[in-house]
Amino acid sequence: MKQLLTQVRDLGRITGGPLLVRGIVFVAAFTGLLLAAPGGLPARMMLGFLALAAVPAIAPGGVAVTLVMLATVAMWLADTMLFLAEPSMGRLLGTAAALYLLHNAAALAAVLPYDAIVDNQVLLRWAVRSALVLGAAGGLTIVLVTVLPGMYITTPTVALVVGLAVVAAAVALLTRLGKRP
Amino acid sequence: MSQGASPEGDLEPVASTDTGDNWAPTRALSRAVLVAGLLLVAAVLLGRTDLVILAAPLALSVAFALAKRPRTLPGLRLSTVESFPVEGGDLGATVEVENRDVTGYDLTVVHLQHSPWLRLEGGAVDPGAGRRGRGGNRPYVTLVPRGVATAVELAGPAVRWGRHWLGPASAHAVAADGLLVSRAVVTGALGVKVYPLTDPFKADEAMPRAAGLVGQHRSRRPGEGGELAGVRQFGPGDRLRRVDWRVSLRTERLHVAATLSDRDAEVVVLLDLLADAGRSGGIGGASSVLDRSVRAAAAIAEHYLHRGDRVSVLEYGAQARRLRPASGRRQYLTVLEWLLDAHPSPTAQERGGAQLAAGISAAALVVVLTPLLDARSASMLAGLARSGRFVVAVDTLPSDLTSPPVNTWSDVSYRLWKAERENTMGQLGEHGVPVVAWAGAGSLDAVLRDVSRLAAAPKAVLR
Repeated sequence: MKQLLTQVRDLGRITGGPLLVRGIVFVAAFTGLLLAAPGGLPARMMLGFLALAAVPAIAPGGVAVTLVMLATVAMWLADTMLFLAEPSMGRLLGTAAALYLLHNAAALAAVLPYDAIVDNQVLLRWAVRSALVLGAAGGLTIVLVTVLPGMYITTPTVALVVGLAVVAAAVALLTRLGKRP
Repeated sequence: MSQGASPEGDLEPVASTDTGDNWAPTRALSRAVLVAGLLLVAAVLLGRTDLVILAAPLALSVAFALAKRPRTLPGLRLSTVESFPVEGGDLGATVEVENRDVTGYDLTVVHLQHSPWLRLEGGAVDPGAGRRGRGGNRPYVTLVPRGVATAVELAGPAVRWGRHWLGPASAHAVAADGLLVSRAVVTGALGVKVYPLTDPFKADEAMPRAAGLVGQHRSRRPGEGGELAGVRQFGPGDRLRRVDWRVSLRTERLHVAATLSDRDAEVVVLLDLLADAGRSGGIGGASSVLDRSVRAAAAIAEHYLHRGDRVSVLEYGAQARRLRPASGRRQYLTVLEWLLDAHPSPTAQERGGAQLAAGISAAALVVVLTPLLDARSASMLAGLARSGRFVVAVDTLPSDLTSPPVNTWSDVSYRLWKAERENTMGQLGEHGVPVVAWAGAGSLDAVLRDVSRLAAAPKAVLR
């Protein structure tokens, strides 16, 4: 009870900067879920999405962010594979941007103490870097759409193995980047 | 104002090493790699290009962020910008974070711990802008670009006297879009001395008995001094510079201006630290017994030292500290420093008034600052008076002190206790120890007049 009272009292110490970033986490999570979800879902699901999107905003440093991102991907796969939907390019790009913003804003929110006085330059720099990444990813998407024949590619087994090896190498490289001194 | 409080006020930046342990990956890095990896594997297995597009921003952000990763820890420096603050005066502190790395930090989180009596507020300040935010014991998040030092300036009043702590300050940096976080860098703590604010105090009455024929107090005896007593005929031993030429020319006989002698006195301020009561609220709030005692002692010492008297300070408590009598500005600063270490120190066995009197000059005026909460305090006062010392007791119990209601008898017992205390004060008065409540300016005038009168009268003294 005492802990709860302390937590309620601490709510009054929340400052604008961390609140804004957590708000971005919430909006990104909700938008991602909304865009990835199959169409024609009942309105009750919207409430569920709202509740689900609030979890990473409240605990941006926990596993909730990963789970919401995986839930978004799972719903995207379900819509395109089970319901055989043909998503538009705008919906695809929107979902990709929402996934990235959820991850990036949660990474920032996790390192910002909720009661911190935040210099505006910090948020500005963060926004500029996010925009750069999104711009680069958009350019890559255009290249992929131009080069590749369509959304579905039928590949021989050899190409599949080579593709998996490339993915494994990419993941290993990213992991090594994070661990090297 | 820009000088550090003490030679150890500025701390050198914490030495950093180029080891890989300085920076650790956050959960965001593993999350990005996990989700991007799963998406890419699924894309290959299912032959789906849309999954590659979903994974692209995550993979690109990790590669982009970790292309240049930091190696060294941020440098951290804590300093103060006020030399000798007094209660209610402003104190400043600066926490400087320096980035000596090859890449900029996304942000640096700075924490500064400090005494609750230092109400420091502040925010990140751009080197050129001089902008200051608001806060109050909160962490500060600031941008530290490559090769730049950013200062977080905090300022605010020190609301209570005493030795306070400022620091330690800690900082940790975040880089690579939140994927890497540095080890925390911590500085040492600084000691800040906040001197008590002296209540306005003035005592115009003459001292009961002075020690010698020098000093600031006029006596009733004729002698060399500044106070004019009259004009009389020149006699053997009179100095020529005392000749009043106007009167001499008019009367055609030499006349001299007679003066009263000047005398100094020794004032002993005795702090009763056996018990404390009340809650201290700082300079603008409620005062505890200790607050009132310390501020009153500072005011009395300042007044008498300003007049040229010798002042010593004694502690009636477990520590039994004693400051030797001296005069002048240096003694005033020593008294203030001495008072910073005054704390309630209850003890089972305390010296009586006669034992205390042995170390006090017979001609000294003893001002005892006591809340009269302990029966031994009244005994000590009576013992001092019986030893022939000129004692004035100053009641430092706050007038607005109330008893916490524990049960229905609390109020009755509190009133009984107050009546008993007033009875004790009356008995002390009968023993020649006037008790006066501390009320700042002029508090002691009435009682000093009484003590002076008593000092002039013959009295029996126990030896």
